[in-house]
Amino acid sequence: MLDPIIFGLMIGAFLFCTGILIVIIKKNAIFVMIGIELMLNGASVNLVVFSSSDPNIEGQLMGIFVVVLAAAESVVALAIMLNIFRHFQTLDLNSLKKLKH
Amino acid sequence: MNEVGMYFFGLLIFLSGLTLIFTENLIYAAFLLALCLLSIAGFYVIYNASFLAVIQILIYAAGILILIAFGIMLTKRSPEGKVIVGYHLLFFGSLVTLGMALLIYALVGSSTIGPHEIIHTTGQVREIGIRFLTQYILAFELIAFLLLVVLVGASYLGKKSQHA
Repeated sequence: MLDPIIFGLMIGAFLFCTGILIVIIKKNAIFVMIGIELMLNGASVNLVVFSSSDPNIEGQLMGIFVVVLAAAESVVALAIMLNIFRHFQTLDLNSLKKLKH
Repeated sequence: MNEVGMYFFGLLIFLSGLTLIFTENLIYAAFLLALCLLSIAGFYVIYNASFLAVIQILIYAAGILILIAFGIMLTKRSPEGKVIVGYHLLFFGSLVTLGMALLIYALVGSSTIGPHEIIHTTGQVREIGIRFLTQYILAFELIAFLLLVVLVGASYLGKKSQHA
């Protein structure tokens, strides 16, 4: 039987590493954003795990801020991606090389 | 009961994360992300953060997932609806990930986290509401301002530009 704190930390580390791997190896910009969401969730899982033995729930409050910031970030990122797609007709990260239009 | 739920949701998170790495279809990736986020919400319930679990389901599994689905639908090119995403930088990426995993493992292993009991408190929503309006009032107002900025910025970026 694992200690629940250690198990939660393992899950958080797994989510963070999965996010990093997806951000690096995938070619599509939306997939990269999915990886960023996974990394944010890994950090949030860590906060919740550490606050689970804390009677005044500090980590959960920080987790709520993380969720709100993730929502704001993904809205702006998707708006920018739509503009990029309208301009270049692709979201393949290897073919987005030009900075001027 | 708690142990069973902990391992169940942990296994779901693990499986959906691994499948997210290996899938090449972007539509599958969006639904796997939904499964992963919902199991993280279940994990939060086990770890005494039920309010955050509700927020997670409302904002992540509903809001952000719908945004990502719209993003996929508006930016696909192939007529049959499949979006296949390839890989690049495989060696470099796995090297960085392995290094990060070893670093986190060393950090957790060298720390002195004793065994802890997960406590279960009640009345969390009341506590969170009071804390947001007293201790974290500055962060709360800044978040509200940030959401206004994001609303205006996203609607400005999303409209069709005049000269394109």
